[in-house]
Amino acid sequence: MLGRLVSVSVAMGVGLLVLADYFVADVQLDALANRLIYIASIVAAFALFLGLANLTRFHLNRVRARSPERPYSLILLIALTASITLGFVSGGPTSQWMQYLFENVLSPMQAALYSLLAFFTVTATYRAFRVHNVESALFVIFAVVVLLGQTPVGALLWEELPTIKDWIFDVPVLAGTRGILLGVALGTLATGIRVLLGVDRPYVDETGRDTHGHLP
Amino acid sequence: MNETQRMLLGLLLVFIVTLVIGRYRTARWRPAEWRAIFAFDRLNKAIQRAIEQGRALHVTLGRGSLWTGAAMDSLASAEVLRPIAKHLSLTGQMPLVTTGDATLHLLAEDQVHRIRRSLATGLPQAKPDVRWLTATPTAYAAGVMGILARESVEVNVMTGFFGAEYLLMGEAGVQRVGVQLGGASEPAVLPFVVTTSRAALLGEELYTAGAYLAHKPWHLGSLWAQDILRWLIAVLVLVVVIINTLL
Repeated sequence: MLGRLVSVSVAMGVGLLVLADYFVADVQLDALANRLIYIASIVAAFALFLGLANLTRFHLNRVRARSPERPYSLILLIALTASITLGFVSGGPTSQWMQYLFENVLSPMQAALYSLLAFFTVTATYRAFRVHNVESALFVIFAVVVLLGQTPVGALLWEELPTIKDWIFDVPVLAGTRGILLGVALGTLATGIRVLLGVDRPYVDETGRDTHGHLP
Repeated sequence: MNETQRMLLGLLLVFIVTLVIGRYRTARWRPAEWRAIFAFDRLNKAIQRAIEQGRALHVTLGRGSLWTGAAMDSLASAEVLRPIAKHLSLTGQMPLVTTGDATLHLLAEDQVHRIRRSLATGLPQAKPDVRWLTATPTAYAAGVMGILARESVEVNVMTGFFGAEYLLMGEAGVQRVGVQLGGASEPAVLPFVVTTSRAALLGEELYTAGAYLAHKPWHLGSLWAQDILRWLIAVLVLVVVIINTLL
């Protein structure tokens, strides 16, 4: 009970102080808020160590259990150990060796994976283009107009197509996006305020007394 | 305090007052009075399906760090995880949970372990399997794609903060799992969510899990407050447009 009280008080106090710093121009408050944010960044860095421990433990267990995926886990563990060792030996992430590793191993692999997006976009679009109700029919019509309006052949077919495409982007798409953003902003605000006021407490154990958290 | 700060402070205070009023107004609300969100109905059926088939239910919570602007998306996705874990733990199962951020991993692990402890039914219970995959988007996507390809996953739920990597994971899910549900708030990611999911939580719907799945009074109250503020903003926009047109 005392632990919960302390956790909630600290979380609410820190949150309200940092929020107050946004609205009040005070040098001392500003310094305090910056210090608190700095402490949060250190805590977040420790979370990375714990994540790393979780990853290592999982793959070590898989190697020990002689699972069929053992070779992948071994490769991961070797690469992990090699990168960390190289980082320490060569002088940190900005060192020449680490930069070489990033530019010649990590970046090409990331680019290769992202290149799949082009093919996946085609298959996703193919599925989306199946007309099964009024909404999907409208979706297909708008998509075809935009696709033709984006390409030179669209203007050759009908010179008004690029203008219609621009209107679709500037009016319905923009209006829809702003509507979504407004809803998201209000949802974000609601979530933030609930945490700030201590109504939502993801950092304390409430499962034992959560009378409202019944199963759906 | 400048004009923007004054406006934000005003909005914040109005929201807090509306939230408190909403909390007490909505105490008598019935689920039949809410707007139906298909994804939540679908989620309940998907959980039952995973339980019946004895196959894994995979939940990935995105890569929104708890100390960045994406924290609210991550907290909202944790609200989706809680009822899934509660439901599964009653049958002795646990979801397979993955994250692309270390701070979010801690939150997910904590939530799942607490639920397992608090809902111990006497049945032999599966150990919670919560994995932090990595910190970079592509490697995170590769990790999730690997899990969907190799493990026996029946239901795949992807909610939280994502970027373009969502499409990589979503397409892998379409090909490999029985039911896939998604949710995101980022407008650029929404087309990927819609095209790869049976049902989707789009935009603000992501933040409604606590109200719809757990019926938490404060969450219901904030839905009411969000509606009131949305109307206020819409009326304000109309009034400003009319004044600017006439003057």
